[in-house]
Parts: sequence; structure tokens; C-alpha cells
Amino acid sequence: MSKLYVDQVDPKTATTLTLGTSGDTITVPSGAELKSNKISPASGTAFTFGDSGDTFTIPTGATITNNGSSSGFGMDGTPSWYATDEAGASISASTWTTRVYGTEVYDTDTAYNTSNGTFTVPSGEGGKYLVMCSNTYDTSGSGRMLIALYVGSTAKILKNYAYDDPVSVLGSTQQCAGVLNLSAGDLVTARVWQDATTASSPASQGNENWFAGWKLS
Amino acid sequence: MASLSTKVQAYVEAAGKTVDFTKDVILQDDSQGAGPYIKEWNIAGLAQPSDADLDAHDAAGDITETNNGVRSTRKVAYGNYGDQLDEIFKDIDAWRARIQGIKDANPKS
Repeated sequence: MSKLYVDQVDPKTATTLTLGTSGDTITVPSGAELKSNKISPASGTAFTFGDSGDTFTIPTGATITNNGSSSGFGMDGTPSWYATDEAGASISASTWTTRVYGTEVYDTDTAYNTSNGTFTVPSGEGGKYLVMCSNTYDTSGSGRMLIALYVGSTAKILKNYAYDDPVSVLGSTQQCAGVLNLSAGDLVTARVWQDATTASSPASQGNENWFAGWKLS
Repeated sequence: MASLSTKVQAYVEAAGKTVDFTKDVILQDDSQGAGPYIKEWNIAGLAQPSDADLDAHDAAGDITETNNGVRSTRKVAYGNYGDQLDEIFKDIDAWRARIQGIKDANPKS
């Protein structure tokens, strides 16, 4: 093998320099460094780093800054929604009642329905979701108060609260949260149940009554 | 008109049975204006009631709910258990008189 010793290689004409020919492999040996301020595709707009199974390491102290868009990195947290109830409602005794949170704060995929309190998993968006809800009663009573996250007609996550002091039940809050494995088209609702009074009225403060969720993966 | 749960309870108890609304009978309200309805009926040996069956227990249900309201009012007026124990320790006769006054002021049907 012969070697070419030179401190700089420039194009003979114009500004384009070509190394090798199609099918060739240009190797930079282990321990050697290749420095460049820019790498671009040879043609078109697609640029590929390495092959399947390769690992690229960003050293400690180094920073990757993304000023463009990206996909496939971590999660973007959508679809996501957050709705509150500013109107209040009446919850009949011993009745699983769908809570309708009628004020939408945000809804990235227009998947939450403020009329019936239902989040419908959009097409192509099945996966794991973190979902949570909160309900606060404004009436006093003594008994049990349940709150649950339903998928279709099944309670997937349920919290059970018991109160035995009618004086302090005023303003009692129940909250429920959990990770749901959802499929496209699944219907997610928040439902409550109470046997403390004949009919109990949730408060109308949005910061006490809300329903939210977002996709994890 | 009595609530659905009260009428169902009266119907079940009239048949000599008991009901747990978290498993024996599931009531549901979809919040679409139709009100509560019976979603599941799991009481062996007792048929799910018709609307007429439930209406037959409406008057009894009204009395039950009125009395439940009286109990709730009384309970709030009684105060919490710790205060009452202290009251009893200090003067049991005065406590007894106060409780009786609350009962008299809030009679059951």
C-alpha cells in the first residue's frame, strides 16, 4: 500500500471535490478524527447515520440543539386534552353518573366532546395514556363517594372515598388517575357515584372539577 | 318524586331482600338529560322492577328521603363526636336535653 502525504486537497477546478467512486468505502481509522462544520446529503434531502444496530454516543457535556422539527424522539404528549366544569351538576344517589366537563381548556386533536364528557381515541393514536379527573362536592353528607375512569362501560381505575362527618364533607374532593392502554375509537369518561345524600351537587369551580389526559407512548 | 335508588331500595326491601348499589344493582346516568336508569340487575330471585313497580314505591320513597333529610339535619346539629363526648362528660343531662330539643325541632315523618 502506498501513502499520499499532503496537507490540503482542493478541487482542481470550480469548488467540488470528489473522494472515490460509487461502491467505494472511505474509512477513517479508529483513533483518527474527521472534522467538518457541515454534513449534507450527496443527493436529494435524506441523510442517514450508520446502520441498524449502530450506537451513536453524545459525550457528557456535549449539547444537541434542534432548531428545526423532529420526529421519533421521546414523546410529544399528544393527543392531549384538559377540560373543566364551571357549571356544576347534580349527582343522584347510588348512581354512576358521567361527569360532563363542559369547558375545554385545550384539546389538541379535537377528541374531547364537551357535550357528553367523552374523550374518543383518534384513529392511529392508540397507546398508553395518562388520564386523570377531579370532582368536588358542594353539599354535605355522610357516606361513600366513588370516582372512576371508564373505558366504554368498564371502570378501569376506581377510587373509593368514605366520609362519616357531615360537617366536614362540604367541599370534599375526589380524584382519580392512572395509565390506560387505549385503542383507536375507545371512549374514555369520568364517572362519579355517591350515597351520602339523595342528590349531591358538585361545585362549579373549574380548578376543582377537571378531566385531563395525554398520550405517553 | 323519590329518586330511582330510593324506589329500587323500597322495592327490594318489600321483597325481604337487601341491595348493594355497587354490585347488586347498578344505576347509571349518562348526563344526556334522560336521568338515571337501571344498567344492571343482579338480585337472584327478584325480577327487575317495571316502571309501574317503582311508581308503587314512590310514596314510601318520598317518606324515606324526607326522613333521611331529617337525619342529616339532626346529625349536623348534634355536632361532632368529640365535642359531644366532652359535653356528656361535663353535664350529661344538659347534653340529653340539647339532643332531645334537636329531635323535637326536626321530627320524622
